[in-house]
Amino acid sequence: MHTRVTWGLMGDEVGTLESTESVIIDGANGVTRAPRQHFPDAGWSVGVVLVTLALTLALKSQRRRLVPVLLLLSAGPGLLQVLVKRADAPTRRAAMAAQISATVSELQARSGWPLPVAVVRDDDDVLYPLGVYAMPTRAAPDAGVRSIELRGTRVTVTCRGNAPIVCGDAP
Amino acid sequence: MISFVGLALLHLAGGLLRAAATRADWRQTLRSPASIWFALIALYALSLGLIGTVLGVALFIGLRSRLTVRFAPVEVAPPSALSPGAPWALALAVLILARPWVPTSWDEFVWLAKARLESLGFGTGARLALDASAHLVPSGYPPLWPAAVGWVSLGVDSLPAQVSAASLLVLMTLATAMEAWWPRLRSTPGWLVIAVLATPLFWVHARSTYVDLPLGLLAVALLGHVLAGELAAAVVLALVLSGLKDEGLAHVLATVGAVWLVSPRREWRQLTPAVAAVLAAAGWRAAAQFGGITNEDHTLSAPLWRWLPDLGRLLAFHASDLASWGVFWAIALAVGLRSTESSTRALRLGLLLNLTLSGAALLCGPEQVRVFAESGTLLNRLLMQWWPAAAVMVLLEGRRSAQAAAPR
Repeated sequence: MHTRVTWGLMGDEVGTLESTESVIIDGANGVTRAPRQHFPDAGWSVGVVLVTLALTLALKSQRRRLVPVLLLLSAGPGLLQVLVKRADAPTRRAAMAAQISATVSELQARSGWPLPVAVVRDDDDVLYPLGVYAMPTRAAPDAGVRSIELRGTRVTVTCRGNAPIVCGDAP
Repeated sequence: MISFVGLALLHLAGGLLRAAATRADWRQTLRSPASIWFALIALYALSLGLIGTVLGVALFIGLRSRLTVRFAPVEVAPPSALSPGAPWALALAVLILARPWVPTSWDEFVWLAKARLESLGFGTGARLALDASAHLVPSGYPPLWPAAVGWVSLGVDSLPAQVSAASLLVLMTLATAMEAWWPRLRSTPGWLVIAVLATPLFWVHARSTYVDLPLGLLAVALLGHVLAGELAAAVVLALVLSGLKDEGLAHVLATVGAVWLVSPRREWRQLTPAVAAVLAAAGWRAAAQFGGITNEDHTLSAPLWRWLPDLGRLLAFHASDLASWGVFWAIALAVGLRSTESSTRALRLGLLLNLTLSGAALLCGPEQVRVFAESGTLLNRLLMQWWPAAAVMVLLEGRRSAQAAAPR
């Protein structure tokens, strides 16, 4: 269960997950965008890890009380991302949730699920999972039922039209 | 609020069912977090129709007729012993649950979409998962996690109810793991526990409804139960793991295999959870194939050996992702290399077997799985599945070191 790779920077600061769109796509794959960006600082981080490994192996029993200190110090930058910088950080998450709720409500209202509906177009990974939630079961595109298009790469969308219903950017 | 009611009802039912199946004291089973999985596996069997119901009854009879080694639930902490840790456990629970009850990441929407199906009637999730015309995304995955979310939310079709239900289930997996390891970890230094729990990606997953962390937590709980010889709970947890995700079977095989290999007295009965999980997974696969459903992510073919160095490089880079893990994996590796304690040996071997099975699945899997690994959407989540076992290993070693360093 994974994403298609079809999105850009979404206006994020390099390396961070500051926008709602980037958290939707990569929020659980890492604390930052490093995995998606093929680890630009791999040399540095692998070096830190190897030094820590050697140090921990060399520590005598009595000195192993240093281990919690190493864990806490190294967790600091990541926790800063989780607690402050990311779009789903505690102080920012309510705004993100409101944005997502609005779009999910819009999609649910327009799709009318569980009535049969066919998704005939979806452009990007941002709207795709919200569309899956709004329409968990789908009809085949040629089933002769209502159809819906999910267009664009932004999470905040409104829908218009009826045949098909178009949600997101204008065609 | 409805999810809290649903959780309480399921836990009550699970406690009573566990007491009936294992002849244990119901007051004890009601105090055990692991009891809820008895209720969920019973509902899962019922949701699979006649065959599932027959198998569920067979499981009940098997447990009751002393299939397992012993019947008392794994040592449950008395209330007096729990009291020092209770405020910390409560704080942890609040931190996990105190989130806006709206999904924020990709798979959360996908899991919760399937949870919505239970609002159409009990068992709809399992039925439609085997119906190719429903076009569920992704197809072929075992449906227990989303169905359980639907049951805990009592079939209410609302986003807050489903997210809170899933968050409560995440919390129950954590409680189940803590219960299984409580006898061995009760005197672990608090600072070490805090330092291990400070792992940044743990907090991302603990406050989400992804299934990777729950899978790892239930796998480490399974290991604790198998080590303790409490096979009734182990069989149920193994069945739950095989119903959550395909990787669950790898966790069961690795865990049970590790305990069996390090055990000084190997008994065939120790393999019961693995046999149960293999049968459940094979049964699900067969039912899916019969319905014309294929799980495209998990089909297997000949291994692509030339990708092995890339897998090693990617695994090293992901485990060294400082923002996600800090230096956790370096310390876990050091502990794994040094420790000789028996529980740690089982955890270490379990991790090694799991790594081997997952590596084999990546080498033998379809090209798209390797693309996922290359594009950064796979390996940190596998590491999240392995994190609970590694965390317990670090905690056990830290406790041993603290005891060795204490003045006599």
